Amino acid sequence: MFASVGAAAVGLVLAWIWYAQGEGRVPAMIAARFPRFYRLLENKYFVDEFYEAVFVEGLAKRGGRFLWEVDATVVDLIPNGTAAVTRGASWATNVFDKNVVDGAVNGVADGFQSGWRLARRAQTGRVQNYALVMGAGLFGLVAVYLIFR
Amino acid sequence: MQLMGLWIPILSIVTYVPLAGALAIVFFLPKERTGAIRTLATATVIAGFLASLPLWFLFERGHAGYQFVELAPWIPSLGVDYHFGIDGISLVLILLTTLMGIIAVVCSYTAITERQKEYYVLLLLLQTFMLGTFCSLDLFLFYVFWEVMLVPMYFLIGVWGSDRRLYAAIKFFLYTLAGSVLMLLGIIALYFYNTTGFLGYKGLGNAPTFSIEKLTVVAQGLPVDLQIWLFFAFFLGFAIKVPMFPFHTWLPDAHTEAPTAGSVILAAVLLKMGTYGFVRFSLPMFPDAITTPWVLTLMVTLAIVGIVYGAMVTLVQKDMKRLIAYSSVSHLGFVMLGVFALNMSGIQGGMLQMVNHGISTGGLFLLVGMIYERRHTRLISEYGGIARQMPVYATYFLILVLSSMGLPLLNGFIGEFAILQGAFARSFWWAFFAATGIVLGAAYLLWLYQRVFFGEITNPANANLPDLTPREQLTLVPLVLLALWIGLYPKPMFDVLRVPSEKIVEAVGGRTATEPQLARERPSAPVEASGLAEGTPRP
Repeated sequence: MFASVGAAAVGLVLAWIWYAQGEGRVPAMIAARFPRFYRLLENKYFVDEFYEAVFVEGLAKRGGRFLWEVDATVVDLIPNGTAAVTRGASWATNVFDKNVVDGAVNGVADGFQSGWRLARRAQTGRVQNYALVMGAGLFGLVAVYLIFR
Repeated sequence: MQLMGLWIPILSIVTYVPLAGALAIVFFLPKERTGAIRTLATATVIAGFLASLPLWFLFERGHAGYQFVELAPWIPSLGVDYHFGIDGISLVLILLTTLMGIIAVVCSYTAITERQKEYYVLLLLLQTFMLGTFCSLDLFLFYVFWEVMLVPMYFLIGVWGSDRRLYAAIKFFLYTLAGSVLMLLGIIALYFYNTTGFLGYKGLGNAPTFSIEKLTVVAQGLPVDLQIWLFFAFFLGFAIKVPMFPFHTWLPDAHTEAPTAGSVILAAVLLKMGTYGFVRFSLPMFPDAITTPWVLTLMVTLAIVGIVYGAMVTLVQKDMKRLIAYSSVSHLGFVMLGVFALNMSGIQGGMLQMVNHGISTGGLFLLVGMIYERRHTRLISEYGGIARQMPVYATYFLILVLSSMGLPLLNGFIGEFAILQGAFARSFWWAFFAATGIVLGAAYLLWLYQRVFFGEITNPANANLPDLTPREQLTLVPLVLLALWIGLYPKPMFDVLRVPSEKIVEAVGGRTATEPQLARERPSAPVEASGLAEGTPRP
């Protein structure tokens, strides 16, 4: 305790002698002789600047901005990524549905359609064709009967 | 509750009064009568709050069980009952909800100008669903209310919100729903374990039930591996709601884009659902899971990351509402840290901080809404020097900022201190990181305040802003009074929360190796001073 009080007392005395009594000539001389040391003391050991640069700007602001980016992109991947995956899966499901499933349904219908188009060709409207088919059919039936009697 | 020999189902009344108001508005008031709609909505929420006040006065602080119980079979074949009841935790949350209901309705008078009928109906419905969640003692009933709560909120954000409201609303809805569905699986698993068993686990063969009391006992007897699975199933549902890192990303969008009253209700009540879930379900039901070292470490790590990461991201926000939204992540990280400290200080602190956060952050959202109504911008860079123009507003804002920061004499300090004490009892490092969060909290809040309120008025648009109207002050005064009351005299709150905390600590504490060494080694009061003679049995 005495050391600190002593130091304060010495400082008081010196300040009184140098500034109050002596217009600051001695300190000015010291400042001229040791300019860097003087600047260090004048700027309070640059503690404020150090704090501002390292903690405020560096850690808090830059760190915060970095984490915000991380939050908005990486962490948000949980919902956004799920959304993208879901959209992709939905698109794939839609493609499957439209082509494969609906394709099968339409394929059946198309099959039927080809079927009747083919069958339609039998309706020629010409009695000669019908008579020919009837005759051929009769021949066939009799042949089958005679072979398998 | 008995009143003059008559049994009054007070919890049902408190829960359904808002619903009755909503139905009255729907059926009896055409949409042109906006004044009448607002009046009826206000009257309804005031009635709801007044109906909930007797709960505070008639609640027995020392009683260990649930009070004001209402029980009636609902779906007997499934064992579902209509079972309402509250304990200390639900009591404070119900009162917070009913108070916030009034504030939300009153603050919307000038903010909402279109489709007012639908708005107030949805707000009242939301009120009922939230209250029902807190009152439920049946897991099925709880889940019904829990899920249906999302619907009015979705509409409130999606219809009356701001620019990115549709994205925010659907993100909020789907994200929360996904977690809840996993919780439903957990509920069903528990239900079946109680009856017939499932997936190779032999069931207990009891009668089917969804009663929380009975299933808690069942869950405590589960083998540890199954407990861990079920813990994580419930965990996801609650962690997304809290929100815990990394499931928090719905919150900034939902809070920012919601209308003012929506943000207030989201912050004040809906976020508490998650923490309430942990305290009501996860902790009592899965104590062996929670006290498994890696599970506890994971929970606490997520909580601490939430505190520090949330605070750091808050610091660099440029939008006021987003800033306060991210600060909620940080604050609720504190609550989670307190809860997972698994001791009296931590859990009581966490629960108190739930209420405190509702008051301070709800209030901050209210305040931001007020200035938004005047200037239609939330960017901090647009402001500066507001205190000169709106001194009353600046004062309210300062009080709530200090409350949020945890300044002594206000409510935030009490909760934060208790949480820190609880965390420190477990591990110095937990408390260390939590304290870092407090410092960052002061940083972002004071910096926000400085940029918005102090200095010269640099933006000419801010030159002639009107100060707060009496109606606006009316919405803020209850919050400020509560902040001061809890900050100066928190004993009533701690009295209400003590017994539920003891129950939880008992459920988990019996399985932990440590109760804080600090508590054990504190020297006991000398026998002569306490007036007890040697050998007198302690009461």
